Amino acid sequence: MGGLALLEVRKSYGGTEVLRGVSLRVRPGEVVALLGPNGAGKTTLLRVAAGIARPSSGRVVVDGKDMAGEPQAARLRVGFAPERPAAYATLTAHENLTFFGELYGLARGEAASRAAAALAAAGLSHRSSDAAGALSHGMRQRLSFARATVHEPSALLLDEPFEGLDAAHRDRLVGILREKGGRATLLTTHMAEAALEVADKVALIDRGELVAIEPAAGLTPDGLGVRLRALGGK
Amino acid sequence: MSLRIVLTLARKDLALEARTFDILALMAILAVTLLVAFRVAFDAGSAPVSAAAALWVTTAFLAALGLARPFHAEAEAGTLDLLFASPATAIDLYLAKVIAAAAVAAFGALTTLALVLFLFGPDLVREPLAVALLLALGVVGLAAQASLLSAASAGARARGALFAVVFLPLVLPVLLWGVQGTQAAVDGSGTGTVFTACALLAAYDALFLSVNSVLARFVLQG
Repeated sequence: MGGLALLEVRKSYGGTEVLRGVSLRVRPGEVVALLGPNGAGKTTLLRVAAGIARPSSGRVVVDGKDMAGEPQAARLRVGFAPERPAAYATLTAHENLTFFGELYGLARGEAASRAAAALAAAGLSHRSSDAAGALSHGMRQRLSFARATVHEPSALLLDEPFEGLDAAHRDRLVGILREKGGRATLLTTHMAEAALEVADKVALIDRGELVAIEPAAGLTPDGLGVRLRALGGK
Repeated sequence: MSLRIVLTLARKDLALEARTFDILALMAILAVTLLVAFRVAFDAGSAPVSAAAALWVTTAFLAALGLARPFHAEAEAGTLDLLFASPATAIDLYLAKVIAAAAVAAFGALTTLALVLFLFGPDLVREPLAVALLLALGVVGLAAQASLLSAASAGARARGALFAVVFLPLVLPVLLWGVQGTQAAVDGSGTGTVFTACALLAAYDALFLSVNSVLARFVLQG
């Protein structure tokens, strides 16, 4: 089973069930945008898919590797960028990416060259020697995307990737995501327009349940916005 | 466990420690303050013996100050989630932090030793190998406990206070055996006492490195 598969995933914190039997398949080369009101379970679903949080029940499978049965093999195949861009503030942008490349099994020389390529793709080559802590929020967001892709994962998980980006870099990221390759990409966003530009499918989640999965081609930003407001107003 | 991943993580942690001078500078200032107070308080005639106590008490306090940070800093920066999402296992993460914490603790111990020699006289280097071995074993024990506690308290609101409250009682045996062994080495009261202290410290290190590696699996999960 290639790509990313979430099978009947449930997640509870204390007595509260945050995910209620979510099943979702993202095929290789496919981009799925996950939309929903605040607290719907979008970030939790991404954290479970990334192997950061363990599901209470259900399975996560990445490129045929079960996250519970073969966690290291599954995690090697995943790239994850959290909503709040995280990096080691005193390491340079290039050092941050090289470190993560090595952590994901690349030899140091290869990690360094892939880091340089990822920084170039993110438009950060000119800041590669600067400490990550000295970058603006938007630049750290781009660095976070570059870090998530430096080891060329099979599945890419992006939590609000357009947040904090100016129009030019938002368009640039949309372009990169459209290139796809053989990568399965699952992203969350509250920007209906960006979601429809980049995604093949749109999944709507509300109160921990997937309520719809539809091809993006048949949807409009306004129509999607109306449906999201209806979910949030329930 | 993957040695390659442990060394990659440890190299990153050591680079971060080397570039974050504030805690290391604070440790040096605390060492000077504590040791000057000890020197004034202790009778000059008891200098060799009291130097051993001053060395270990100061080293333990410096560890309490400097070793809480590793996982706390990762949690605050949001990078802990990135490590959880990576192929590194909990044991990899724990052992890498132990290596970095041992380096910081060694910095504290060596700074303290230099100051003790300056303030209390050169008796501590009468048996340099014994003192070096005792300190090395003590540093590993301090790092083993600090790294797990740092991980366990990373999610707590009062994480710094929680760390210190639990850390110092846990490393009391290190302190006691270190003082006993160092005193015996300094006043020449017997190699048997030094050997026993080294053996106890080595056993403490082996026990807690093993137990804490297992516990890390439960502490380090999202």
